Formats: sequence, C-alpha cells, structure tokens
Amino acid sequence: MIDYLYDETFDGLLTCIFAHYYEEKAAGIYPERLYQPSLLHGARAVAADRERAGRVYAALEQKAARYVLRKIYYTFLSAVPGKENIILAYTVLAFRLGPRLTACRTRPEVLALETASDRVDTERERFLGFVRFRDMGRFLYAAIAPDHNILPLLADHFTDRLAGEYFMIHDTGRDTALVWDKRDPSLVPFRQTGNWRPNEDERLCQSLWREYFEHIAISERRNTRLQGQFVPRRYRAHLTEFQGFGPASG
Amino acid sequence: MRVLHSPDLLEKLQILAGAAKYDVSCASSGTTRRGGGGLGNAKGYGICHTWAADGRCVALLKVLFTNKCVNDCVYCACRRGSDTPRAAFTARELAELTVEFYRRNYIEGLFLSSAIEKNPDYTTENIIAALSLLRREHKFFGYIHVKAIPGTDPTLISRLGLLADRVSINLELPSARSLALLAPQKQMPALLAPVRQIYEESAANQAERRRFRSAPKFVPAGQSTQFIVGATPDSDLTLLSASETLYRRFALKRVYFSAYVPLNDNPLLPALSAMPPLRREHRLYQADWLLRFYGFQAGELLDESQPNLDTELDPKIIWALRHLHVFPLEINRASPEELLRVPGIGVVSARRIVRQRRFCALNYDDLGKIGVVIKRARYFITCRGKYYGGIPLKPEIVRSRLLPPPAPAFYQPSLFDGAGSARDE
Repeated sequence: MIDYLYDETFDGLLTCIFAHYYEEKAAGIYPERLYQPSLLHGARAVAADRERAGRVYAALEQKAARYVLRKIYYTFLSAVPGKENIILAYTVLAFRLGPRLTACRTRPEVLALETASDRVDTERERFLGFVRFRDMGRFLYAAIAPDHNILPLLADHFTDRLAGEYFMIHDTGRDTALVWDKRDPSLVPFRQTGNWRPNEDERLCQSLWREYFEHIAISERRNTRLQGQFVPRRYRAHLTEFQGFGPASG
Repeated sequence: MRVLHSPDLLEKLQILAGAAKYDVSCASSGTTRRGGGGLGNAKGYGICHTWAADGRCVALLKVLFTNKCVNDCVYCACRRGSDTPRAAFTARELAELTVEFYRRNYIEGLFLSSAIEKNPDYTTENIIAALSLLRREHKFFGYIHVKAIPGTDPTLISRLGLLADRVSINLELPSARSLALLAPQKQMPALLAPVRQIYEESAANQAERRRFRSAPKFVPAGQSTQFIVGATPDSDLTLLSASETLYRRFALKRVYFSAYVPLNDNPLLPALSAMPPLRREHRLYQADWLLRFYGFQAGELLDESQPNLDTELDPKIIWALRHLHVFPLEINRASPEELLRVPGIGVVSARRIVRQRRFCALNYDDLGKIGVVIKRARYFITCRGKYYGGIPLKPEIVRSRLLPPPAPAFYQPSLFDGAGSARDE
C-alpha cells in the first residue's frame, strides 16, 4: 500500500489509478502540493502519463458506461475534500460491477461520488444563467467565483451561444480564464490587473437592466427568503442586478 | 446601441416591464437549438438567469409592446379606463434592448406581450415587425415567447408562430360566467379559436417536419396559458378541470396560475387591501404537477363535494389520506405507477427505487439516500414487509402527524438572553 501523489490534472489522477492496478495498490491519492506525509504508508509522486490515463479512460467507458466517466470528471472538478479517494473507491467498484453500478446509489462509494458530481452539475447549470458579461469595447468580460471548478463545463455552451463575439470568462478564485477568439476556446492562467472602467454604453445597459430587475418584482409578493434560496448571497458580488443595491436588494 | 440612448427609454422600460410582470410564465424551455452563426441558442431544459425580490425567476426580458388598450377588463392594470401612464416601444428599441441584454447573458430571450392598441391585427402586425427585425436583421437565435391576441387574423397568427418558440393565449378566467362579468369584451369561443389554430398547425408542422427535416418550425416549444386565481369565485375544481382539458385537448405545455393582486377598486373584485392568495396558487401548482407528471386526474383530487384544495396539506397527501385502503405499499414490489402515488416519493426517487430493487431489495435506511422524503413516506409504505410508520393507519391520526408544527403561541424567554429582550425572530 502506498499513497500516490498527483499533479492535480485529470490525466494525473487517472495515471495514479493505472498505477493502483499495475504497480502497487493505492492507500490513497493526494495532490502533491498539499500532501502531508503519512506514518502508515510510503508516498510516491506519479507524473501524468497520457497513454496510461487513456487506457483507464477507455476501460471505464467500455466496462461501465459513458456517464460513469462524466460523473468521475465532474467529481474531479469539485471542491470536495478528499475527492481523489472518492473517485478511487468508485472506480474500483465500477470495474467490479460494470454498468450495474449506477443502480447502486445507496452504496457508500457511489453515494459519495454522486453527491459530489450532482453538486458540480447543479452549479454548472446555475452558472449558465449567472455569468454576467461586460462589454469592454473590444471583447466581453465576465468575472465569476463559483465554489467548484466549473469553468471548463461552460465552454461548450457559451462558445455556441456567443460564437460571433470575443469573450473571456474569468474564475477569480482560481486565476483561470476561458477565452474565446471566435475559433477555439482555451483555458489560460489569468489574473486581472488594473481597473477596467465600463464605457458609457456599458453603464447605460447596466442601469437599464437594474431598472428592469427592480420593476419586474411584484411588491405584494415580496419574498426575499425565496430569492435567497435561488440566488445565494455568495454569488451576488458578480451579478450586475445586485450591485448598487443594499443587501436585501430589489 | 444608439437607439438605447434615447432619453425616454428608461421610463418606457419601467412602465412596460411593470405592466408585464403579472404574466407568470418565464419558462425558456421546450426547444433545443444550436447557434447558427448568429447570436444565441436555446436549451431544452431552460435556463434561469436571476430571481427577483418576489422569488420569481427571471429568464426572459418580459415586457409589453404597448400598454395602450381598447379593452376594459376589470382586473387589468392596462384597462382603458385606468389613468396609468401609457407608453409603447418601437420595434428597433425592443430588438436592440433584447440583443444588448442577451449578449451580456442577462436573459435567455424575449417574452413579448401587449395590450390591444386600436385592434388585434394592428397590434400583432407591430409585434411581427419587431420579431422579424430580431430574427432576420440581428440574427437572433435566442428564445422568444410571444402572446397571441384573440381576434387576430389567422394568417397573422401563422406568421407569428414561425418567428416565436412559444406562443401563449391567456384565458385568464376558467368559466364563461366569470369572463362575462370581468372581461366583457372577451368570449370563451373567441379565446379558444387561436389555441385550436396553433394546436392544429403545430400538429401539421410536426407531420411535415418528419418528411422534410428542414421545414421551418412552427411554435416548437408549444403553447401555454394562464388563469387568474382568486379574482372570481371559481373553484379549484373548475380551474383544474379546465387545465386538464387544455392539456388533453390542445396539448398545452403549461397552464400557469396567477394569484390575483388587487389593482383596481371595483365592487366585482376583492378589496384592494386583500392579500394575493399565494397559498392557494401554490396548491394549484402542486395539483398541476400531479396531473402532468404523476398520472393523476383532476377528478381524483377534487369533486363537487370538495371543490377546493386543502390549504394545510398538499394535494397528494390529501389523496392518500382519502385512499388509505391502498396503503401501505411494499416498496420492493409496488409498480412504478403506485410508487408515484406515495407522498414523499417523486419522479426521480421512484425511478431510482425501480432501478435499484432489480439487483437487491431495498432497506428502510436506503430510502433517504435515494431521495425519498421519509417523514412523509413512512406512514404509507412497508419495507421488506415491515411497517415503520409507528402509528395506526387512520386518516385523522396520520393527518395530525403530517401537519406543519403550529407557530409558537408565546415567546419563551431564554436563560441566556437578558430578560424580555425584543428579539426579531
């Protein structure tokens, strides 16, 4: 038994799973950056290997199902602590049970993974709506601060929707940006510097939107608790319609 | 963009959004469309973009084209006799506003309704002009929901249906008697004519698209309607039966209910101080879900002796309490249809139960993990033959357990607070 340390890429994680089967059984998988040495097991850093990762990927697809892979990938993007070990336990079970796995939600290995991947999926769906672009003159810019690393999951939707625009979606917490140059989407490390001031058109649009947002609510039905369930406060910093109002808002 | 800088646009938006807010629908679902080189696409499950201070979702830019109206419907804020300020968008303003909001991902598309200026044909032609501008000139592929106005020439309705994803006609009141009382210019047969037309043209369009895949789509996201709740003495049974008929007869996608907010002082209506009947609206939606997803029929939920839904408990529990003889159901044997009738089991959890029990029988402890709401379901099920409800299966006893706890009648001082502190909870 050994602790495998990986480089926080998906390929790296799958390479560790490969090692679990073909080298030494894994006691656990941890990000190398954060690893604290264990007294029980030795540890070994595993370099991401495309070919080995690809073999694990193909085997899962063949022995289990495509959406098993999607669930694993979503869990990998989550901010759930110990997600690597959740994925390891689930993968081991997936190879044992095959497609039957998805009918076993009550098994602890499956429940842990499905809970995590459901959370990521929920947040992904939320952010299809919660991204707010600002027109910077030559491109559209949006800042987001999601709990999980959902940025890669937004690419397909927004590049299709805004195919004719240059845009950037910036995950401020992870210093990463999704950039679309009208041809290919790319994920790049990015840290905003300087203060970008909105031009006059942008200011007008924002004020029209805020005005609309305020007038669409029916005051006799006011229910900010319900609003809070749908738009949690932690997301509001980057939502245009919640800027410039008090905390109760609307 | 220059059009948006016109000085009175802000005021127009305030008036025309303010007047459109009583339309409940905000669904952006029902069509999936990849972007076609223009701006926008559509997702079949619909995307909500934000939620307003009343907790209702905002997915579409919901505005009236104009609030100048020739009708005098008693319940309506735009009625002819009201002295509210009037405004109208130009087609260009509306198109640019939609596009600028859409690019910034504020909205999923446009919901365009209108009061009737001059006559239905004139108003519909204006709407068609605005939508054509959006679709053709701006190459806008986002979602469009448009209101059809009864009395419009059928050829105009057909053109409207090719521009929009969803078309709706608000029936507003479920009985001819209420219509005669509150909206004397509207008559049920005239209101239903465009509903029938859209239903028939959609069916013909679907048949055509099976033969020619590239045939243009007619109202691909289907049609919906809305009823006002609480402005007239119409019972829940009347509302639900009307909804059921619309779903069956005209394949409507949704029937919306709108708790009436008193806007006009009129002896025919509830007093201005009356609160909108939100609880009743909520129960109607629950019943509507039972009709659409759970295989219930209106006649099972309500009848002449009990024409209104219970406000304290949801309609599924009420049905179960009245049919206790079919319970408890064995989780590991009940059919999928039976499972859907158990309070606390929904569409997802029923599917999970059926899938999982094929491999091994379910335990009581598994149910929570599967998503069953135990505190409701426990009285109506057995698991591997054992009953976990813990109380006799009698309607009044089960009912008392399921009722929400009463609000505390008095304030209990805490040992740790200063005595008599006025806590705001």
